[in-house]
Amino acid sequence: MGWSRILVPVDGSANAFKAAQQAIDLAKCCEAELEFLHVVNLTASLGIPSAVGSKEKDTSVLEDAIDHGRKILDQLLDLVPPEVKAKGHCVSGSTEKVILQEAEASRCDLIVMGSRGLGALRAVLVGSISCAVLNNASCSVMLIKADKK
Amino acid sequence: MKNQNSVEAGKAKGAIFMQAVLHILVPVDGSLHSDRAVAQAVKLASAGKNRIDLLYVAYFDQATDDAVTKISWLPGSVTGSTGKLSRTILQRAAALIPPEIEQTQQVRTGIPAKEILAFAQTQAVNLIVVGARGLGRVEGFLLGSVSQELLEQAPCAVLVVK
Repeated sequence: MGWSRILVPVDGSANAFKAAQQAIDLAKCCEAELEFLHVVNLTASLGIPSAVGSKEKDTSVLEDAIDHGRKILDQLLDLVPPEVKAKGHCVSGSTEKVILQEAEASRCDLIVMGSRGLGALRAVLVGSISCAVLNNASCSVMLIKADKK
Repeated sequence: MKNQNSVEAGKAKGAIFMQAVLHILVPVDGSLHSDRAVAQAVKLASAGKNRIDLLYVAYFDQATDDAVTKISWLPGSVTGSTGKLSRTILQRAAALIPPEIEQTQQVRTGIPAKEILAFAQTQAVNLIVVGARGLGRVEGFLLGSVSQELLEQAPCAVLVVK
C-alpha cells in the first residue's frame, strides 16, 4: 500500500490524539511501522531560556516534562493493536527541528500529525509547527483537522 | 490498560481508514505534482472498496468555448477549448488509476480552492490528496497557494504529497 514507516509527532492535544488514532488505522491498512514522537520544548512552553535559572530547578522541570511526555506516548502505544509494530520517543529540543531531524533519521515515508496543537490559538487553522513540518519535510505529510467545537 | 471508550468514540467520530468505503478527492491540473498525488491516492485506495474522485477546476465554462474566434497572441490555455483541456487533464489522471478502483472525473468552474473545498464538503470526502505544488499559477513558495488554502479550510484530512 505504499508506506512502511509513519512518524506521528504528538503534543498531548486532542488534535494530536485524533491524528494518532488515524495513524494507527493507517498503519494497520498499510502494514507500516509507527513511531510516536513527543518533543519537550521548555523554552516554548514555559518561556524559560535554557541559560537562566539554577541547574537543579531546570533539571527537575525538564524531568517532569519528559515524564509527562512518556505518559502521553504510553497512552498511545496502548491503543496500538498487537499486529502493528510501534515505538515512542520523547526528546527535548526545538520542536520543529527535532521532528524534522527524526523524520530524516528514521527515514519515515509519511508524517501524520494534527493541523493544530497545544500552542496554536483557537483561530489558527494550521499551527506553526504543522506548517513548518509540512513545508520542510522531504516526505509526504498528512494533516488531520481538529474537531470543530 | 486499553482505553477502549475513547478509541471507540474516536472511531465513531470520523475515523478515516477503517470504514467501508474510503472516499478520496484528488484535485488535478495536469502537472507532475498532481500525477504524484493521483499515484499516492491509488496506493491508499487499492486496499478495499474505495473511490477516487478526480476534480479539475476550470476558470472558464465550456459555454465560452467558441470554435470560430481564435486570438493568435493569447495562449491556448486561455482561449483554447476548456472542454478539451478538462478532458485531456482528467483522462491523463484517470489513466493512472487501475480499473479495479472506482473513480469519477469531475469538472467545476470557478476559483480552484473554493470549488475543491465545496466539493469536499458536499460530497462528504474523507481525504483530499494534493501535491505540494502545482495547482496554482504562482511557483516559488514551498507550498502552492491552492494547497495552502485547502489545508486551512478543508473539512477533512489532507495528504500533501512531496
